[in-house]
Amino acid sequence: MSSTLCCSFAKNVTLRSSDGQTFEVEEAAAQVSQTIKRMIEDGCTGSVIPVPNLTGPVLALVIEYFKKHSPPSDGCPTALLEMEIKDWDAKFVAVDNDTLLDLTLAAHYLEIQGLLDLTCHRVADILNDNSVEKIREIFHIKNDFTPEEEAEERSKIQWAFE
Amino acid sequence: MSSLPSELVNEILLRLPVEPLIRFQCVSKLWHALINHTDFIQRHLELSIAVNRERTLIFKECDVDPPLNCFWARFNDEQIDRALTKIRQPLRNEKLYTQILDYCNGLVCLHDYERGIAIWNPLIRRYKKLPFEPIENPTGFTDCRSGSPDLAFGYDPVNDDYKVMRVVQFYRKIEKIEATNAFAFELKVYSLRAHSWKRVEEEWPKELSPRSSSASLNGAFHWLVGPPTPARSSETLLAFDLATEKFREYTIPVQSDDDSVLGLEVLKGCLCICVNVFVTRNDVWVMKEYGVISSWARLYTIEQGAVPWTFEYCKPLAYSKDGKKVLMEQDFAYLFWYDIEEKRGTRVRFRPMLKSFQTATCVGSLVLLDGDILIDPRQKKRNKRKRKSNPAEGLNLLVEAMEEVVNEEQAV
Repeated sequence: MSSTLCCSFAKNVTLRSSDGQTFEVEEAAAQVSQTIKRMIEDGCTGSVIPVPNLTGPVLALVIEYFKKHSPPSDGCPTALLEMEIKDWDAKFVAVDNDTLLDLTLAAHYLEIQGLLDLTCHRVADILNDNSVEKIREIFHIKNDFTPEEEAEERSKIQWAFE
Repeated sequence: MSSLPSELVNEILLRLPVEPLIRFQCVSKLWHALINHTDFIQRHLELSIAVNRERTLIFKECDVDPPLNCFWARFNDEQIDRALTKIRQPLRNEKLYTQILDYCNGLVCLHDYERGIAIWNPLIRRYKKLPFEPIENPTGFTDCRSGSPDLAFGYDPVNDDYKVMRVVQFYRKIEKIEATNAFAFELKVYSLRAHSWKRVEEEWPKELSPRSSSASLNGAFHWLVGPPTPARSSETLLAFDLATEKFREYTIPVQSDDDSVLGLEVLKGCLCICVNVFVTRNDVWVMKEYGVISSWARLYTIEQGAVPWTFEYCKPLAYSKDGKKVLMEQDFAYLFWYDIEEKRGTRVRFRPMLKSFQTATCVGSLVLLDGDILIDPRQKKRNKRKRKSNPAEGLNLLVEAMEEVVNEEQAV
């Protein structure tokens, strides 16, 4: 274990997406993901780390996030840096709905708490302003209420639709 | 794009205020189930409390000519909506004085002598009316009730339940009125979970009478209590633990006298005592650490000259986010922000102006989502036009509409 630690300094790992694309990233940055961190600790560094739930374009985005959020080598982040990261984060999730949902799933699968908070907040903001019909469309949800059941539900909560 | 697993949908929905969540129950059966799940409702509430989400002030008009209305105002840190929105309350009695008993976790408990008690979530327009519970006189105490029952409302975190306690005091004429056998109490607790009342076996300390309205905190009800005889002084704090159903007593740092009244309140998770010295000042003492009597400390004093108006009775409702100001309710007539450092008050103005009111504070909460639906009469009329086909429904609506007419007639 100690030998792994001393050699892991500024070392790169290779991640492979579901469609076979490979990406090289600094090990410290990739460890922003708890899932990848555990795989590295379990000794997966020698070979390529498979990330089967993410396609190449999504994994590329996640790696951008890793790089921005990797722990700074020179101690604590400054307030200025934190503000810059916050701005960067806001721009990072200002994407189309499908990409946003892909990023949410990726954050969930790779256990990236910061990205999960960020994407969930962004999705919630989008939901807040949208109708039930629009939400079904965004989330690709099939309405499984019968028209009678839905009318019944709606009649109970009519005020929320006004 | 594959659809999101339900634990992720949960994570997203947790971040929404109550109104869209109510609407999104119609998205699909899965979403309906997620939003109505007790764990989701609990986590959503915890988040609301942590960030003061959807803070709302509820006003219940009192002591004015009928109709007595209810209003709300959204409340974000020091910004309070100036325009009040009229809302419907479940006891639907616009003539009698409906009291706000207490409030917590987005719920407001209402009470009036004719229609009983109701627990109400104003933000999601749901309520539960408590069943009628007869008062049973203890043996040897016939027809000698002292005043009206004392009521308390609050949350029992051990059993994840909301409870109402009713304390009825009885007396009988015997030679020495101070003797403890001159008094008896009937104690009953209502559980929202069981939707029923139960007698409490533990005895209320006979030598103590409630001297304040109740305050609920940390799974216990609290009262300032004193000897049942009118003599002032020797007041203490009595707590009733909702899980163990045992009483505890604590000493308090102040006592009332001929010129002052004590009130018990909860401010930012601490019990506090408001000392209202008649047209002189208002002191607030706080028990910083719950149950630790050495932690009582004076929080602030509002001298009569600190604000450019006179006051008799003040109580704190909430802190500002920076903790420098306290929102105060004064004489059931005004609200003002009191700056503790600057010792200065700023009145909060509303439209319409209310002459006399009680205030409650709420956060966004889905508790009571399974309660009865509070329907706006205007909406009811619309529905009636829309759905004449179902005779049973038509009858229900007719009954409700008749109740409505009766209420309105009473109010005239």
